[in-house]
Amino acid sequence: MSVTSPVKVAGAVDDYLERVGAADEFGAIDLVLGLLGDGVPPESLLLDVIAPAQRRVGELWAAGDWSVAREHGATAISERAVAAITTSVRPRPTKSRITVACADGEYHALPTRLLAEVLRLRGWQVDFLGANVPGPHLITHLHQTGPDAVAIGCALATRLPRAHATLTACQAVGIPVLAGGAGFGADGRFAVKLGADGWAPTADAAADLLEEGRLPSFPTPGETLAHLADEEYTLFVKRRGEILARVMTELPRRYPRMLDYTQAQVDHTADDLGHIADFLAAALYIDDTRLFTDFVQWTCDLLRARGVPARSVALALRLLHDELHDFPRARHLLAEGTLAADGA
Amino acid sequence: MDTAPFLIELESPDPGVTRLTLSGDFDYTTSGDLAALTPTFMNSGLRVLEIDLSGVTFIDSSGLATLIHLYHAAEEHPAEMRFVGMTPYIAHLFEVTALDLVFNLPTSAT
Amino acid sequence: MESVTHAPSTEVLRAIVEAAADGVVLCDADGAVVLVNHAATEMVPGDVTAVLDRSREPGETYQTAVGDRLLRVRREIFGIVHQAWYLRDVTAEAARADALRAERERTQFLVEAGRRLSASLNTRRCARATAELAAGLLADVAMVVLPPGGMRRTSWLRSSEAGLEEGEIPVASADQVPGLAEALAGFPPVPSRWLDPSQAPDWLLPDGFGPVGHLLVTPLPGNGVPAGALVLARREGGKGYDDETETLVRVFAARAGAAISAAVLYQQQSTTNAILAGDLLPPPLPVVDGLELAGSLRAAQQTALIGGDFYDVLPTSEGPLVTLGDVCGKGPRAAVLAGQVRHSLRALLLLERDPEKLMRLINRALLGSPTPSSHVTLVLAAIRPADGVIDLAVAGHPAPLLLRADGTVEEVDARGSLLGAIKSGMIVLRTATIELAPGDLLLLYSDGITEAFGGTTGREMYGASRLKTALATCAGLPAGAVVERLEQLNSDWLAGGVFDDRALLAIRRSR
Repeated sequence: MSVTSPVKVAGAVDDYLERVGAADEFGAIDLVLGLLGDGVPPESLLLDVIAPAQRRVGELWAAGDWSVAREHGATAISERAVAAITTSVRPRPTKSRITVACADGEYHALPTRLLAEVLRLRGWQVDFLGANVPGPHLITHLHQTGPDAVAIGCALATRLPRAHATLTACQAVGIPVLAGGAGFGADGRFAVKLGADGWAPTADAAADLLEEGRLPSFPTPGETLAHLADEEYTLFVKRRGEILARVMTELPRRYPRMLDYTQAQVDHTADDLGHIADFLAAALYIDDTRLFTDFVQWTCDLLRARGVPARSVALALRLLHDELHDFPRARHLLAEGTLAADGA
Repeated sequence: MDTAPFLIELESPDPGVTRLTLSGDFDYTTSGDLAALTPTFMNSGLRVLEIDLSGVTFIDSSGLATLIHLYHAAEEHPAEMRFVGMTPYIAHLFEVTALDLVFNLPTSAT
Repeated sequence: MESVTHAPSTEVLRAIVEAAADGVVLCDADGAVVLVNHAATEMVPGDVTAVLDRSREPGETYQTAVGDRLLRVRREIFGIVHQAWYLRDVTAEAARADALRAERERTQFLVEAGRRLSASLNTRRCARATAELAAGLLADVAMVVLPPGGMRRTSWLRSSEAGLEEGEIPVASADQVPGLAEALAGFPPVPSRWLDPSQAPDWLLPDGFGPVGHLLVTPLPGNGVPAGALVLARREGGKGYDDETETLVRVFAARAGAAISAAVLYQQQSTTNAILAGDLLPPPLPVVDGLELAGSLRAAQQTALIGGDFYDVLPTSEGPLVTLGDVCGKGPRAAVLAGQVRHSLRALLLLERDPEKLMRLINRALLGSPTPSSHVTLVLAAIRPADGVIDLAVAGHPAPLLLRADGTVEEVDARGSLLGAIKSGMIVLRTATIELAPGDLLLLYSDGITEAFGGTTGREMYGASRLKTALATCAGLPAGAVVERLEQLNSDWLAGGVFDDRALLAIRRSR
């Protein structure tokens, strides 16, 4: 059906990126609708134009080339471009019902939204519940609608503990869970560890998996996470506030430049420390060292791109390490993290 | 989140005067405590009801509602209700809700 | 070894062999039968060689059926040249083992059924589980016919090797399956042997199923709520439904029926709830020329999804009236009062559009309300999209924030009394009139945002100044992105802690 070459679609990515970057909403929508009119399949527009452009948006933000505001603006326009494509196609549902939702606390809705739209285009009857879906809301929805499966998107590994609670609750009400999104690991290893009934790296792979009937009709719950018996995760999350407060008081003593920080800069440092704590908690929960060291590496790159010395990260990790006397697993993670930060 | 426990202290510094000292989080979950206690001090001898809020860390709309009820109850009794302890946070809250124009507040806080 | 040289006489051998409890057949080196003992004749009344499998090695044991008996046969070398076949009747032993295995299978089946049926409160999922479970052990094809519920058509789910299928039939078609109409009406099941399988209509079976040999129709007994019927069929030549299987089907049907009827009840109640709550949820925002509108509402009680914070955008001929408010309390009770305020505003708007006058009317209405503690905080903004002029009244609520296109943030200078609180009816209002230039944004929010406890210590309030700082970073963003970003920052601050109802509504004048 397509008379458009893949080259044309690939070329459209840069054009599209330029338009969303310039907050040119109408330009971006005209571009995708024009391609749709030229015969480019809607699924290809979603996955070969918008998805790669959005990945670039994330990279540009991480590299410090784009501001947070510009990134948010671009994403908001992409949301509208997706809506423009799907409202002009309007597929008729021929397959059964699937629920698609972002994990509790997960705000990066677009990748999950793309999955919902791809499934809709392929004839599934899709209920897309959006970003940050509270667990009880999702379960109520499952009882009310009784879908064949629920697809849970998780873009950030820090949402994994809550995603796990949601996943287990879905399985407990008899609905198999398909996990997707970068949060479950590039190779899906966290999806496997948390007992998801299926995992797919991309929206089209997820659609294929469902079409081929590779999900069981009734879920098989995963093994319990035996390492959680040491309670390091629980205690760390419970005492997060006091632990971070102590690190925040200690930081200026070890890093005197902080004494001259404005309130906004102090808040920013507290935010960064909060992220470290969140990833540490997630790594403790999943029991995966690479989850933490990858994050440290990424943060150092990010800071360096913004001209902030990565030394502050290593320092924060050391201070956390000193605070967590009775947390051998956390100390090991922090030691590995410090190595990663020093090497970065 | 650990919430600050809500405490109510009742004392009578002078005959006919009852002072309520509230502290902690005065909200949806705790405001009932004060409502339940009201009949014990709204007695025939009450002339002045003093309320000290200087130890209150948080008030939500239910807490405010309870104070308004208390104000109406005192008005009907009749007794004078006045606030003797404030924090800038609570003073701001009274200002936002314009209760500063209704309640008898310490002069320093307004 | 001495004795080997003197082979026992045939007479002695016969005496020993006849005395044995096991059947014994002796053959010579050429395989000709030389001796059959009494026990063997009992076990194999006809030609005894029929049970001798000469392909077996000496020492090997095998089982073979003779009539309704099951024999265990062992081949052995006997003496130097003879072959012996020992026969044992194991019919009873095997039956005991079969019964044990069947019993274990039934128990496992019911455990698995319990696990799957107890999971869901969804009618379709429960019916699906019932059909899939039954299609394994109990039938070649299993169909659940759901209760008609007063409709002319009723839906069914079917499981077989063809997979899961779903469809609908007219209720009257139930008469075509022997016993189905009775089962749907809740009459006790009819034993399978009384049902004529040849009468099964085509719609009961998947394509190419072939002739039905056995049919069993069982009601799914609900707890006061009809739960439908289970229709099981096995192919011609398959095992029939014996008493034990029929008992198992009844026990299974009782469990499935309980699960389905609970689900039916839940669906009815949650549908009613959804209808009632639907009116209390934030409305989809209208499209207004010249304006971008975006809102977000998070209720403290997550399961209820409704709470005391609310917003609405009510169109009038002069432009929309935007409202955001917070009623005292939480959960459904608060949501009902919030709904009443929204409806009152909608009605009052037919007569009055001035925010200050509307506030006074709402205040009087609330003071007259029979519900105790009908206290409400409210912001009303009457907007003229053509020139961006907004008349604002604020009652007991944090003043809205103004984000200019250049990134400066101002607090609107308006304030006023809490509504429905002071019995004298005296309220004070200081209104404001502002002007949105193209690209400017007005943010309405509830105190759940600024009073969010969190931060590194978990005990720090988010506060108005953090909100202003965050808002200042949003210059140039579309209204939707601003609301999303502010909610995200605020949720990050809460870090999963307990929170109050939180509402945000942004109005941006398009460039």
